[in-house]
Amino acid sequence: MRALLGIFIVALLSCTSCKPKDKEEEKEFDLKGMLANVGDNIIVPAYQNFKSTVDILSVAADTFNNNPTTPHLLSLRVAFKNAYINWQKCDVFEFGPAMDNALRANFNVYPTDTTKITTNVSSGSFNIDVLSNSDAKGFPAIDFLLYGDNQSDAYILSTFTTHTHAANKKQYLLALIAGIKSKTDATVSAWGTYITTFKTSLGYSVGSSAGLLVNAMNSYYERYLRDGKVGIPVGIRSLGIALPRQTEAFYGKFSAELLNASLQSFQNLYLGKYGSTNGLGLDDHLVAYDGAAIDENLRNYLADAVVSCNTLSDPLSQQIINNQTSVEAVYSKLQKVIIPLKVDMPSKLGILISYQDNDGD
Amino acid sequence: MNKFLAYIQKPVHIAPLAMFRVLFGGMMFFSILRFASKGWIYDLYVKPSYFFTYMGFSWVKPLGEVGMYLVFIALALSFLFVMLGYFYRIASVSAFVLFTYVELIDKSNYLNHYYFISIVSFLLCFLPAHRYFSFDVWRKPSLKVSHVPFWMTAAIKLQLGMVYFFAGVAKINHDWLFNAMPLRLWLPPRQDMPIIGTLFTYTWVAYFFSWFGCIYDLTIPFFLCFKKTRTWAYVFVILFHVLTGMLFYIGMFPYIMIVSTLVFFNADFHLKIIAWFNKLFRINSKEIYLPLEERYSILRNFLLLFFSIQIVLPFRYAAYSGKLFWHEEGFRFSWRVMLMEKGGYAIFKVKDKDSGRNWEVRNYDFLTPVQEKMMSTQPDMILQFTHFLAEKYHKKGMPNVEIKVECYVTLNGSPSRLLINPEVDLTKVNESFKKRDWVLPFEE
Repeated sequence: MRALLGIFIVALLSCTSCKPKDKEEEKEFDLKGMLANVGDNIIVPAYQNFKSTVDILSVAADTFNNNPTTPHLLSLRVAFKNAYINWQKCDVFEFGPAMDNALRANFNVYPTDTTKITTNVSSGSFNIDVLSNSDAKGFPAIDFLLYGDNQSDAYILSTFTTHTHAANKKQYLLALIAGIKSKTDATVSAWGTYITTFKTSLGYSVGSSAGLLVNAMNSYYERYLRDGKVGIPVGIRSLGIALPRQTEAFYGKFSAELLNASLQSFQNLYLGKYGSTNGLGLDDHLVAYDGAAIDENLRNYLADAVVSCNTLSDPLSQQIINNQTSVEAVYSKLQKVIIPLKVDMPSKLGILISYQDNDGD
Repeated sequence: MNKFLAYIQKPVHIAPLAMFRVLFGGMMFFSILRFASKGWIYDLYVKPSYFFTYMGFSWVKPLGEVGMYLVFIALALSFLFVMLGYFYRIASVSAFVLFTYVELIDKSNYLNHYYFISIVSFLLCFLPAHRYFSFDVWRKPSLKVSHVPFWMTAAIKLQLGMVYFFAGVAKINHDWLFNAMPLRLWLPPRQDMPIIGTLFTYTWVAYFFSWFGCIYDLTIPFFLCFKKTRTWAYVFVILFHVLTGMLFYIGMFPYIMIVSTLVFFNADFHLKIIAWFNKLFRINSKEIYLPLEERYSILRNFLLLFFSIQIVLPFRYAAYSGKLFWHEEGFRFSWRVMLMEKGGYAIFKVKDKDSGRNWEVRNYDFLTPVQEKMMSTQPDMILQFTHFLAEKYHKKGMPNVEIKVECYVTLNGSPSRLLINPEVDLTKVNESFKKRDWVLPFEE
């Protein structure tokens, strides 16, 4: 027994003090490098770009508020769409500062409750920060305010100028945009310091950066990208009943464009790609951890899904009505990604998929 | 046989048993507090809308938010009273009943170590662990006993030894010994651990840990039994559990085992601690020989039967062909601890035969993340969930649904593959002890 213990301790100590040079070492990956690449080159720029589009949106809203004309409405819509597209590139990072500010629940709950919005507008007294208003604010609510349900530009403009509650509606619009701006500013400034935490919280346990990132990617992809943007509106994930009105940006009619932006940036995140540079990403991590086959599947399935999503045309709600099978085909391409993403990758990298904390045995 | 009975009937000092009661009760009291402080009472027993019950226990239901908090308060107090040895008979029974009740609510939360706690609590209900070094004795000195039959302390030791030994037997398999799986997957991600972390990048370390773990589990109960090896064996117990506690998310289990194995030490060791304690609190306690007068023969015979069953139970898997880790028939209640890395994703495909509509289920609408994760690799839970869905749709006016499951699972780093035959309508399948022919075999 004594001898056994001795051998055990000697073996442990001798290995910690020196690094065997033989080819035994298997799994080594520059996790620090990957987190630095993802943090510095992908996440922070994504938030900064988003913030600048939100700033532009905020200015355009002020201009429109002071001078509600058709040209100002149109440029406000452009600014809105641009900010909404850039939000797609940030949505996946719902941990750390985004989690603290509950960005997803504040920015993008859809379908938006048009009745609630109309009530809020006509009463003129509302508090957009209460939980019950989560489906009457954010991008989907602004989408409804700016586009209306299949109404002419002239009519929409009149709701901001001559209608009984025109002043209230302008006030509501400004409040929604101000809500987005303040939460965006708070998140961007929090990332200023959080980036250091992100880059130095190594390892793969539940609170580590790799753990947070992979869990965030999975829950985002499964629920918000695959189901929210395609699965539910097309009916596959809603009892087989198509719900075209539940597409994202239903009123502005650029759902497919948002989906493409989202999936594209998701693919880039997996690859660690920014601009035309392909930095260290989860793909490299898988290869280093003896998971080249999983990486190949993931890369191929993601590429297929991107190609497939590009075939969709806006308004997506219309395509769902006219050609449901074509949208179902896109769904099945998106569905293929989830298996290597949620099953094989975390298992290979030793990351616990757990949006909830508990013991194992 | 008579010789054997005489041997196990031989009186031994009660101190190790009493001390075990104190340590186990105390650890469990803190475990329950820890469980509550993490918000798990709500997460696991209030929040879910559906619970995966055990076969034959579908009548076990959670008691709602207030009810569950009350159960846990009562549970914490029960273990506290077990520790103190105060109203021990009531406290020990209530600890066992409440703990087991909680565990039976949802098999998503099954852990071997919870099963262990249920069993030990069960044993404590019958053993006179409160008749020494307890408030009951202080309250009613006539209860005091100094010696009990050997089998009473041996029961606890046997139970502990079985946990180790069977965990060791379960490790004697090809994947564990010759592929160092799943440690090969689990260790490299822990390379940020201080001092020894860098070791985990090497494959040989995973092999070393696998073999060491297997030999440790198989031999430690014996090394703890013999006086000569006991102290060193205990050093290993501490080393082993502290290490596994740091490496894996196993909560209080390592610490419970570290203090529980002290029961293997002889009475002198425990008496010293008790004497020190008595001195600290200026308690006068005379050591006189007071053997337990009752013979407890019925209990003794019952325990012999109880342990015989426990010895057989882990081997029931042999009745089912195929890879045990894959189909998991006969997996639970067998001390198969930390043996496999398994992950899965289940897609439930529903067809309403009346309307002709097809859809997939949003599992997350009905299940918590932990439940969904647990279900995705365990066929019996997949079947239960299918039946729950069918009933749900029936109530919604869809009596003729067909539900097929496409479930991809990875086992010990294998490429993910189908677990369930995707052509079988699971609404037509009933759970039984028969071999599940709707589970696909694992092909290497």
